[in-house]
This record gives sequence, structure tokens and C-alpha cells, in this order.
Amino acid sequence: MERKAIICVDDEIIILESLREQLEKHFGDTYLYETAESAEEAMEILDELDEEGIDVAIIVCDWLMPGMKGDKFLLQIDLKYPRVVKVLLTGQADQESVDTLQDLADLFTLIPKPWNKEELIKVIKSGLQENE
Amino acid sequence: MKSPFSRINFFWRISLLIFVISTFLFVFSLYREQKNHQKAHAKQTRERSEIILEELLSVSGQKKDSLVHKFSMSDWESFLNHYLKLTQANSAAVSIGDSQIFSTKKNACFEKELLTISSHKESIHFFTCDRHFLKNNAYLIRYGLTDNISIFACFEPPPATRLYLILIVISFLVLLSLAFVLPQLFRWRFNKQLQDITDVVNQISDKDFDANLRYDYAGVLGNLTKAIHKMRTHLKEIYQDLELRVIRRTSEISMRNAELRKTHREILKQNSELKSAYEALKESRDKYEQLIEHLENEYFFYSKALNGTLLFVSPSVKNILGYEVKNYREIHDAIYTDNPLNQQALQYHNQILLGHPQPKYTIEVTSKNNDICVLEISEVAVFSEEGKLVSIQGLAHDITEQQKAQELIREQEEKYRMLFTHASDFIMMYEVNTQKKTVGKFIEANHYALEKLGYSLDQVREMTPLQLQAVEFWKEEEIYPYELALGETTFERIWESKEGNILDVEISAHSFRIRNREVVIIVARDIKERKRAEEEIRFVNEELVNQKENLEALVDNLTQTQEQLVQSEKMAALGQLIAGIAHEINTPLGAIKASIGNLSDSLQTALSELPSLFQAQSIDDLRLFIEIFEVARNKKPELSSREKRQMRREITSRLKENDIPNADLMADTLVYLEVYVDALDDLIPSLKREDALKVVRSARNFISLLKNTNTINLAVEKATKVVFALKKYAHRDTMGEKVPTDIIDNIETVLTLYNNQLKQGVEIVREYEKLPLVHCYQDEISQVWTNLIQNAIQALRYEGNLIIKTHLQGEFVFVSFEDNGPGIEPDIKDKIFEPFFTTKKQGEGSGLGLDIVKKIIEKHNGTISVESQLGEGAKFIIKLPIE
Repeated sequence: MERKAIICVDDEIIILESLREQLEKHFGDTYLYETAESAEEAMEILDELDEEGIDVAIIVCDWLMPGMKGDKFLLQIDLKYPRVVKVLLTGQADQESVDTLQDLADLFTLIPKPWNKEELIKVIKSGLQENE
Repeated sequence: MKSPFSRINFFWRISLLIFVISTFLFVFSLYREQKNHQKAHAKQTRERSEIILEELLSVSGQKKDSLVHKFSMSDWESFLNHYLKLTQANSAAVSIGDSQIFSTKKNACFEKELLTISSHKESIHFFTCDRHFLKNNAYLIRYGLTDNISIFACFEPPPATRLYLILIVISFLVLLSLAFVLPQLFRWRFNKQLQDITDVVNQISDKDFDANLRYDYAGVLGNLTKAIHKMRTHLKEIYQDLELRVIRRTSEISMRNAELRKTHREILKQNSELKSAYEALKESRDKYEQLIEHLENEYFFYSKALNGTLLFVSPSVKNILGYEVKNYREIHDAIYTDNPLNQQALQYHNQILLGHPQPKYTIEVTSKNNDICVLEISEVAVFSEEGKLVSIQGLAHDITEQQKAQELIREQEEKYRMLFTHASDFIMMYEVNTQKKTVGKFIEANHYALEKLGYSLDQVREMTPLQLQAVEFWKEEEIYPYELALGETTFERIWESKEGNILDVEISAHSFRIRNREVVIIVARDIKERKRAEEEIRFVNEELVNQKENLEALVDNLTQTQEQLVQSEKMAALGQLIAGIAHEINTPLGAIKASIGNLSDSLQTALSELPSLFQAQSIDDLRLFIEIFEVARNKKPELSSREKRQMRREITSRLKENDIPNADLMADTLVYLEVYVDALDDLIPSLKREDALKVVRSARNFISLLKNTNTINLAVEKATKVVFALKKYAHRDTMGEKVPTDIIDNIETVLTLYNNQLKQGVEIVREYEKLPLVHCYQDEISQVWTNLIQNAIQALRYEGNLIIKTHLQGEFVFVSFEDNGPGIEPDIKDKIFEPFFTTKKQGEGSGLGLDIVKKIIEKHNGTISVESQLGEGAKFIIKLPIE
């Protein structure tokens, strides 16, 4: 069976690297892990994977990034790939944007930075279940 | 009368004209005759020539047509000679075509004419001929023999004709000269005779009545001499009579003359007397003229008949009323104003017309300029010798100005009287005796004084100022106000009214003289009220002082509040910063936390895998492990996620080419280990091994230790930077003194703190010029940058450019913040530095930001200005002195 993908989006490489490794360590080869430094890049990856026929199970996305911000990006994802589970991982987000996201983009959950590994894994797991 | 010469002249001229005309006719008939003679001669000659030619031709046996060819030169010569003999022509010639071939005689004139005529192109046919007149009445005849052969013959007239002509001309000239000379001769003779007669007449006029007069003149002159003679006889008689009369007359005149001379002397004497009298008169007249001139500006005189018509008006009426005398006569009844004064005046006037003497009265009239004039009229009735009333005479005196002045005085008096009467002060007057130095009685007191004092005016007039003073308050030195009264003074007294009321008064006294009397006027004011008012003022004043203190306390309070507000504004800015900074710190913290988890996981796995790695693996596995490890440990340039993905794809395809199983998993791990394509070739053989993936993954656990440690380092650095900036920002200059500050470093600190806000889409363009250290209050100056950057971010709505420039010029540094946001509306440009002015939504800003900035800059003796173009952004420029 083809592996599903998990995409991490953050403008900070240190976050991307450590997050990816965390997920990799936990979920091993079950998933394909992709990282993107901006929303635009993440969109490219999504489109590429879509062409290759790989489903994206979950997107973990930062909120505050140069260029397209997390909320807008997730809204676009929701329109294009509604099945993808969307998780916001952020050190700062205003409540208004979060509410909007939950209403409009079917935001799965929000994890504040710095995060707990256990909590993250839990959220991802339940998100993955949601995806299936 | 026409001169006899003119008639002679006329006859002469007429006869001359007739003579000239007849001469002309005679000459003309002579000319005609000669012409006819020539014609006849020519005709004769032609006929004769024809005969001769015929004869000649027949003699020679030639035909006309062959003449040219058959005739030789000698033939032509004999022919022409023969021809000359027969025709008696003067000379002859023959021509063929244009050229003359032969002629009998050399004659220059003839020769020349021949050429001219033979050159005529018109063809002459046989026996046709024409004539040409030459000089000296000679003429030339041409005959055409054939088409081109002509014979010319020249004839000269007989000389007699010419003689006639000359005679005629000479006789004409003689007659002409006679016509002019003869009248001249007659005239000369006549003039001579006339001159003789004139001489005689002249002698007669010189009383020479016996002059010689010739009587032998004919015609007109004879008559003249006779008339002159008659006149001479007559004149002689008259002259003798006249001489007699003259002698008589002369003796009479000389007698008369003597008398006249006597009279003249007397007249001269009288004249000198008159002259001196005139001088005296002139002098007195000048004086009166001046007087009248003066009076004329104020007075005019008139007399009136009993029926009211004006008999006379003096011209000075014009000076006073502006009307001409004539004009005034017509309208003097119509210029009265409707003042009731005039009604009364009319009554006076009517009485005078009845002969009753009346006093002066006043009328009011309108002048020509429509001004009101007041005239004082004095009128007297004039009686005849029989005692009958004849007319009235009047004198009008212009008293308008006087009247006006009087009115003004009356008005002023009225004003002062009003003031005096109705003033709510005591106004009183009393006399003083300057010699005895005593104070006299009151003369005058106003209503107010009488009312307050309770006395009537009469009663007061019986009192002196001393009597008004309250007895119980008498003080010895105050009793005598005389000295006080002489100057302008102010003093206080206590008076007592008739009813015994005590009045506390303040008196101003002023002395002056009226008709040699020294009078003092006093104005007294009851100051009880004033004293109470003073009391009240004092009270209010105290109140005010209290209020002022309260206000000052309030101001202090407000100042404190303002400071607090400023502080809270600062805190608000800080709060907003902190929220951003939280993210700035949370990010590295998150990374650190995750990395630490990863570290421990990796370490555990590595440790657990280590024994199996060393025990179970073959030596090849170990070599691969070490190789991988070596490659991984080497520092390589950091790749972006995109580049890593690209790298993974390349490695995957390469591995697939080499039939390595689980290529994608392997590639994933290799990329993580930073084992890239360039290092791959060496590893391919090893990677083909069965356990390769496992070995590579073991290596990954070790490398993970390194990588996570590295991540933690980076994260810590990042966090440290933020914390350091925060620390610098929050730094308080404990002494509140200026310290040398690196402005750029200061700005950068603030930018660090704002990083998370800026990175959302604000690009910072740094155009820094190196600056010296600037003396300033560090935390306050960073507040300035904070507020300006904060404003710029908000204006840009997190998207756009912010250009920060620093520039050194002389003793000043310039720092500018230029954004490309929407700019500032021109009408609020002046307000933006005012406290509490904000364009932001409620809660977003306090409106103190720029006010604080301005205050801080001013505290540094600097300036801040703003340039803004709506739609193009705003630029804040700060100028700070270095010291």
C-alpha cells in the first residue's frame, strides 16, 4: 500500500528539522515526511504529491510566516484538499484567526509552541484516524 | 477818361492787322501761282519727254523692253543730252533697279536725292511720273521707262520768285517797327506839353498867380489851359480876402491867449489842492473799505417798500446767504424755515411796517447751499419830511456761528448740570477766604448730597464744611480743611447727617477762582460700601488662593497622570512587543524541546543498537557505517527544504538505477545524513548490500545526536539574541543621564524585537551611514524607534517597505523612517504630534505615541518632522545633536 504523507510547514528550519525527526522517530516508515519553509512551497509539495498519487494525511503548519500566513494557507488547503487534516503549530496566534480557521477551514486542532511530544503525537494520531 | 493815345494805338493796331493779313494773302497767292506754274511746267515737260522718248526710240529702232540690253553707256549719254536740250531740265539721270547708271551733271544735292528716291521700292511703270521737291524751290521728276528703268530730271525755278519774297519780308518788318515807334513818339510829345501845364499849375499853387501859361495847345490840352486860367483868376481873389481875415483873427487870438494863460495858472493851483484832498479821501476810503469788507461777511443792508417789495439789498448778501442780489430779491420771502421763531419775527416785521418801532429779532433762513442761517434783524421805519411812512430799512446780522457756539455752551452746561445733579457722589462747593484763611459757607450742593445729609439747599448754604463733621469723631488736626482744600487733595472724613447717620466719606477737593472768589469743589463718596467690598474682595481673594492651590494640586495630579499615561503607553507598546517576543522565544524553545526529545531517543536507540552493530555485522557493514559516518560528519552547506527534496529525488533515481532496494527510504536517510549525490558513487557498491539500510539507519541515530545538538545551539543563539535585545531595550539608565549611544545598534535592537512582526511582510531596507556616538537618554531614544517602527508596521498593515536611513551632517545626525504605506491625510498632518490624537481603532493606540516621540526628541534638543504624500507613504525625519 502506498504511504501517506505528513507535511510540516514552518519558516524556521530548526523547527522543521526537529519536528520532522520527532514524527519520523515515532511513526517510522509508515508515512512519508515532507518539510516546507513556506506556505507556497507546501502548496507545491501538495500538488506534486497529488500528481504522484500520494495522499496527504496531515499538515502541521506554523501561523506566522513571511509570505502567505498559516491561516490563509490552511483555508486554501481546505478548498483544494478538503480531506487533509490541518493542525496549527504556533507560538502566537490571535484567537480571532483561530476561531475563523476552525469555522471555515475545519482546523483539527492548535498546538502551541513549545509543544509536548506526547501531546503532538496524540493529536497527530487522532488526526490520522480522522483522515481514515 | 480814355487817353487819346489809346485810340491812336487802336487804329494803328487795326490797320497793322489788316496789312499783315493782306500781306499773308498776297504771299499765299504768289505761292499758289508758282505751284501751278510748276505743275503746268511738269505736265508740259512730261508730255514733251514722252514725245522725245518716242522719237528717240523710233530713231534708234529699239523697243522699250530691250532698252536695257541694247543701250550702251554712250547711247544713254546721247539720250540724256538730247533729253536735256529738249526739256530745259537742269540735270538728268537714268537708273536701272537700285543703281544709278548714268547722270549728266555732278550735283551733290541732286545726287543725294536721286539715291533716296531711287531706293523707293514702289515700282514705276512706263510713263508714270512723280515729283519730289528739293531745296531752293528746285524739284525732281521721275519717269518710269520700264518696270525697272527710271529717268530722273531736275528742274530749278527762275530766280525772280525769290526776290519777291525778300521784298515782302522787308516791307513787313518796316511796317512792324513803324507800328511800335510812332505811338511812342506821339506819347512823348503829349507828355512834354502836359508837364508844362503841370509846372504852371504848381506855380499857381505856390501863390505865383502871374506864371506864364501857353494858350496855343490844340484839342483837349487847349480846353485844359483855358480852365486853368479861369481857376487862377478866381483863386487870386479868394486869397486876397483870406489874408485880410487872418490878420484880424490873429490879433483876437493873441488877446484870448493871454487870458487863457492866466486861467491855466489858477487851475494848476486848484489842482494841487484837490490832489492832496484826494489823497486824504483815498486813505479814509481804504479804511472804510476794510471795515465794510469785514462787515460784509456778517451784515447786509436792505430797504423795503411798504408793500413788502425789496427796494435795495447790499451785495454782501451773497457772502452771507450765497444768493446774488437779483436772485435774493425774487426769493427772499420763500427761504424762511419752518422754525416757530419765524412766526414771531413776522409779527415784529408787520408792526414795523405799521411804523411801530420794534426790538431786534431773529429769523432763520436757508442759504443757497441749503445750510440753515440765523440772522438778527434790526429794522427801522423811514418817514418823509411830511412825517409820512415811506419805507423801512433793515440790517441783517449773520449770527449762525454765534448761535452754534451758544448752543454748544448750553449743551455742555446741561451735561455738567446733569452730572452735578444726578451724580451718586456728594458734590458740594464752598468759599474760602484766602486772606483770612478761613473756610466759608457752602454755595452749592447736589441732590445726592442733600438727600444723604438730610438738609435742604438753603440750610446747607448756612453751613460750613466743619459743621458737617461728626462731633464724636472730631480730631483736632482734621478740623480745618482749608490748607487741604487749596491743593488737589484726597482725604477721608466722617460726616453726620441731620438725622444723625454717620457717613464715612472720602473727599477729593479742588480749588479754583470764580470772579475773584476762591471756591473749593469737593466730591465726596460714601466709602462704607467700598470698605465692605474690599472686605469681600479680600475674602474672594483668599478663596481664589485656595482654589489656585487646589488647581495646582490638580495640575500636579494631571502631570502625574500624564506621566502615568506615557508610562502606560510605553507599557502598551512593550506589551505588544512581548506578545511578539513570546513567539520569537517560543520558536527556539519548541525546537529545543523537540530536539532534546530527539536526542534522548536517538541516544537510546543508538546505545541499544551499538552492541548488535559491533557484534553481528560483518566487517563490510562496519566499513559502510564508518564511511557513511565520515561523509555525514563533514560540514556541508546548509540546504533548503526545497533543495533537499530535489536531492532526495536525484538520489532515489540513482539508487533505483543501481537496483538498490527501498531506494526511497534509503534516499530519505541519506539526505538526512547529508550524504549527497557527489559522495554517492563511492558508496553504491556497499549500499547494494542486503543490510545496507539497517547500517545506514544506525548511523542516522548517531548523526541525529550531532544534528539535534546543532539545532539546540542554533535555537539557543536565536533565543539569546532576542533576550539580549529585550534586556538592552528594557535597560534603564539609572542616573537619568545622557550616555554616548550607538544609534544604529539601538535601532537594530528594536528591529530584533519586532522581527516576528516585520517578517510577516515588511522588508527593512537599511541605508546606514556610519554615525558617531550620540549623547542621549538611551531608553527614551529606543522608545522613539519603537514608536516609529510600530507606527510604520501598522501603517503598512504588515506589508511593504520600511527604509531606515542614518546620515551625519555637521553636528547633527539625521535618522529617517520612510514607509510606502497609505501616507497621512494633509488635513491631519499638523495634528499627528498632538497628544491623544490617533487614527487607529479604539484600543489599538493611545494617541500618545508620536507625542511622546516629539517630547523625547525635544528633550534631546532635536526636531522631528514629517513628509507625506497621500498614497505614497510617510517619512519621519529626526534631527539630533551629537552632543
